[in-house]
Amino acid sequence: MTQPIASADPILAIRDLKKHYGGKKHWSGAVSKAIRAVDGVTFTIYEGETFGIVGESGCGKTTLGRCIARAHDPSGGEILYTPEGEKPVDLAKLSQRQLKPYRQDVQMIFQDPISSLNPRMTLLDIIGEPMVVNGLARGKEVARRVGELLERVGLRAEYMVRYPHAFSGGQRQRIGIARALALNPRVIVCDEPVSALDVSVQAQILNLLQDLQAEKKLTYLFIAHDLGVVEYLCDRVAVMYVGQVVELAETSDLFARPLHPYTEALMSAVPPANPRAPSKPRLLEGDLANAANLPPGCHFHPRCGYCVERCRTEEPELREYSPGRFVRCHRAEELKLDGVAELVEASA
Amino acid sequence: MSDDRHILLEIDELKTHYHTPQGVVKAVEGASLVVREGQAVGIVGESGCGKSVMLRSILRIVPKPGVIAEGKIHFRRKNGEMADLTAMDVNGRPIRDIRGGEIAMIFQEPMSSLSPVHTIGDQIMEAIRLHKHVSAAKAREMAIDILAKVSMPRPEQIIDQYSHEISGGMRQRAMIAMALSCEPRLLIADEPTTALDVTTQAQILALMRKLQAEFGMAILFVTHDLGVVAQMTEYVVVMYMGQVVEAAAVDDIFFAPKHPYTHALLHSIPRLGQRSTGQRLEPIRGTVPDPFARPSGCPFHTRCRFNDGRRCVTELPALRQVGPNHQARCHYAETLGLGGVDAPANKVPA
Repeated sequence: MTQPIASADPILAIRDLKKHYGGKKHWSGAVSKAIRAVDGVTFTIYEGETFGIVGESGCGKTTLGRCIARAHDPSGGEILYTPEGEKPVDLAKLSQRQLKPYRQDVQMIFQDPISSLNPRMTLLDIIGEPMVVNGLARGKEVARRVGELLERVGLRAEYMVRYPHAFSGGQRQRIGIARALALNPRVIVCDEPVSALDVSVQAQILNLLQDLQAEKKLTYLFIAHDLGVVEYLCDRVAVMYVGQVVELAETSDLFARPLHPYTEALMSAVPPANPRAPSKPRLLEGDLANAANLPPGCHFHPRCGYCVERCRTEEPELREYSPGRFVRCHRAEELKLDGVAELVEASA
Repeated sequence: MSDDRHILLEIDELKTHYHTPQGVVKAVEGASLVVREGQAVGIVGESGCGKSVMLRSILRIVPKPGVIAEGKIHFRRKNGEMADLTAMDVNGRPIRDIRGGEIAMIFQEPMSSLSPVHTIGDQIMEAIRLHKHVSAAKAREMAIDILAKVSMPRPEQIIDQYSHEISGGMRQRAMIAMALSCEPRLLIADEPTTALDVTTQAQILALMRKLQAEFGMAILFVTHDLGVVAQMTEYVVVMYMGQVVEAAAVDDIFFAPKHPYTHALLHSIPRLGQRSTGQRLEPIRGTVPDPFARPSGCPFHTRCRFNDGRRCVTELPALRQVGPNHQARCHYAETLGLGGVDAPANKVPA
């Protein structure tokens, strides 16, 4: 599962990506304040890795994923995608028509397996339509390939004549995965693919995603709020807070020793599934900052237990703390934050 | 140690069925549990296992066409007498006094369970004035008081605001304030933190722990999050397809489970720190069976790794004593030798 990432080539490079909503002048002259859903996100995803994005609701992780798949049009920044054997192209600047050849390569799996499947289409139509539209298959070939895909994701080929309502949540998520695979993509944006599923079914889907990755050399951008799932699946993780990446590191480093106080608070907030492990959450004060009216200085400072005067006035930059580790905190060097190792030790 | 406390609630072989045009859905099919005074009991199960229907049966708010077909629910009233809730008229005085007054409930989705057209204060004051004979001014004072108790910021302002004006965490605080306003002796919490973010969840759980100590009430805590169960409860009931499959003290459930379903649940969830052990998840195969087609014999046999193909398929196991204060519904509970959560870390050195 863990590959030497340094040797792989970048497949997606996100540079200062922004998505702002509103902020437009109304005809009456009033100017609405822009909601900065994604506000200057920069990271690089390497081929074959699983890159995780964690954060709480409202942190912009879903908007980011949709911008990368160009389901939303970003307001600024670059999405540099490297097609196989070609030079990088900036997906953010391409028109819908120019984008078409690259759409096949970047696919998406959605959170809600009910609303993301058209109830009036059979599985054959749902999974086969992208193939027909993109000229990958025609006629009987479509049915054959849909059957193959269904079997690959653990369903039966005969199911292709049925409609989505005939399937359970876990099965529907398998259908969503088959649809994403229909065009032989290289990158799949997985937006909370297991959070709507029952716990006993989650593990099936996670294992399926892992197997498919090994088999088809897929690169995943895995968006989730469940830290346990992210730790299990991802090679590297970016933590987001109100539209910005506050920390980025390899999974084991991040969980062993977080550098940003928000990461520490997130990890400590997860109640350990062990009655003898003491839960000592670093409770955060108040709620997530308002993306339309951000606090000055560090956006996290009103809730941060380590806040000093500098944090209130000066906005920290995302900087490289050590090779491959990025953090957006003035005090990263001096703080000694707790990772999950303490929790695991306590439970052993 | 827990045994000398009075029994507060006793559910005995409860069956709640839904008569639908497609057939009878046995949402709860013989569930039993005991809650003692001041005890925090967790109910764990997946969606469709009947846990919400069971809770609603306690308060007699099962939506139509659901009916309690069999079983008894005994509850110790304030005056010490044991009352059978299943025998009460659903619209009668006694059950209405109990609802909110002696047993309060908080729901999963605070946005849809609060009224959008009444202020937070109106909703809390309504509960207070239904159960206590106080003036409107006094009720308002009490409402501000209880909001402050649940650590609501600026309670004097929030009391006049509507639910859409405050955040999810604050809505859940308002729900808890409403539930606690009449000092119930049993609080039923139906997935109270599932819709919340982890940092907000941590705040709410800390609050509930504090309030439980302060008010000394019993809590029936329903969740599918094993972490929440481990941290919040002392006794755990695991449900599958409307039946209790295992019930034990929280340590026994996590370290010495006796039912294959409990064991499978414990091992199918990625836990923090698991990556270092390099283990792959062990999913439970298949899905929860269709409620219209309950499997014969043990309802879990279709997904169980230990299915023997004979007795499990034909004979429904009884919920029986398998250890001190430990019950399980499995023919082979004693012989399976299932491992708990800390077992893998001890066994596998690599």
